[in-house]
Amino acid sequence: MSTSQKRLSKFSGLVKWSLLRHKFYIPVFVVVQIVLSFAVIYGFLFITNATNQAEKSYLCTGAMAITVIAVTCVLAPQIVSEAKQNGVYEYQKTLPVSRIEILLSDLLIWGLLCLPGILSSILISKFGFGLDVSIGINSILSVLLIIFSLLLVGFAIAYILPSNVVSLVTQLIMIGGLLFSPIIYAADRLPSWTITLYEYLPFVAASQIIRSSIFRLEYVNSQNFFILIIWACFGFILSLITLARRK
Amino acid sequence: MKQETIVVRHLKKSYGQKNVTDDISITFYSGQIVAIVGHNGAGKSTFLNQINGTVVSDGGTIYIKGVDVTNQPGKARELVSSMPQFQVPIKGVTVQEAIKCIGAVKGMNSSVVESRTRELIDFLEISKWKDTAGENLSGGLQRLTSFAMSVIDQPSIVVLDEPTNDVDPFRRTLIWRYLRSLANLGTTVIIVSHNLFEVERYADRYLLFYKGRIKRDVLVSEAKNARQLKHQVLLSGINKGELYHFMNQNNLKYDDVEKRLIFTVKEDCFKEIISTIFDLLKTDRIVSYEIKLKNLSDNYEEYINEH
Repeated sequence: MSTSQKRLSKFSGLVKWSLLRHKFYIPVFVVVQIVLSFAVIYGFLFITNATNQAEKSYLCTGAMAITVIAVTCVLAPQIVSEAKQNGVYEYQKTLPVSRIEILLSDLLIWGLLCLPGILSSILISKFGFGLDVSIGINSILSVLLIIFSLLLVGFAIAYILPSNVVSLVTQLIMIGGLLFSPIIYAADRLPSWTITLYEYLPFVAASQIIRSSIFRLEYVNSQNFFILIIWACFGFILSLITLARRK
Repeated sequence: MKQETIVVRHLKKSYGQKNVTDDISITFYSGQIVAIVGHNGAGKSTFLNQINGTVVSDGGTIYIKGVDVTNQPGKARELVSSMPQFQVPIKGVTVQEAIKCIGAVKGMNSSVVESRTRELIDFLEISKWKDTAGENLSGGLQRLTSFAMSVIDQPSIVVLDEPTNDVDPFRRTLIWRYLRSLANLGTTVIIVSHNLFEVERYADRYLLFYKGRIKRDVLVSEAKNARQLKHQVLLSGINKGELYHFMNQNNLKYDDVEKRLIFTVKEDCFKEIISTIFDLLKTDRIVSYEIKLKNLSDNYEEYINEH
């Protein structure tokens, strides 16, 4: 077996092991994301009584952003934190695989787990609200950037913080994302200081990239990409340092 | 011919003020089963984890197959297979899935993984549970699965931290037999165990750890020779007043609470002692007696307490 074949075998073994460990969660996550997409779009439609197309577009793109945030920054950190508590990472540290491979295998699985929510949001937007959906190389790359950068933030939360704090922080992110961020409504409804805060966090940047790259509702703002790349690097480095740390 | 596989020199690790491993120097060889024994907190597990690279050393060096792995944990993990002290997390994964996945993670060919998994499951006689998920297995079966995961690739060096814990007496023997077969193929086996009978029976060499240091490094065959004809006598239910019968014997120890006397019999007065014991037994001055060859378990306390 050549070195590259061996490396591939090792990586596929890691992925398979993670998949097997998560096999009971996967169907639940798929259902939760689909339900969440419907709930955000139709639930907020009732609450806000959105009538014009602009408001409805916020609900559709917001639903996609919320489902991605729910998987990457809420579910993923909670499950990773549970795995950390159960000794999964402690055991993986004894195996002949690099820390980057451990991180990449988790990224791959959780990245795939985000897809049902994104797809269901796209379908509701297109067929329920008649929004134009643009699927191309740019939108796919943009979505991948969003997924991976938010996942890396989620992993960093899970690796660094104790499990009880992880659940608190993830709930805070979810509540903040749902109620107090300009994801499902326009930014001008919020006080200016919160808008400044959201400029430096990855969540609003992610929702604006979704609006611009998939739905062509706004101009592409390169600053949003920059913010996500910074957060991705930050999450990656923190996760890697924590995984590589020896006692 | 045995070859040096792991060379450890002046290895140190401390947590705060406590020296967990303290200036350890030792060499391990191919084809040898080395047991590490000692009290809880003696530094046994930390030492294993320093070898497999999961614990960073404060000082000293570790060479594995000529490679300095002291500050290269990745290299250490490539060269050493490990079975940790904690239960390996296999929730949601069946026994054979867990073994196969680790085979793949270790870079093995899928057909070899398939056949080796089958062999191991058959050898350990756990085929009845091969499709049972980890959370539904008993502690002993989880341990056996973890053992199989650590030896699936027939490693050239394997470190195992209390692998026989929770395992039934029959399968404990199987674990040791499997380790012997690996050692016969040239594997260096380093195993932490609290079961001194098993160590004496199956290991080639044992290291007695005490307060982070190696207090004894003993080849089991030599130790057995040295103990030949040293019989240990244990008398139960004997009063202090009867001790004078045995005052000239070696290693006399009397437990006033349990009314129990232990001593080592000199070869030349063996018959005389037996006769005395029978007299005491007939006149109800002792309740029972045991005579056996001294073993590692009997010497353990002596070794720990010696200065």
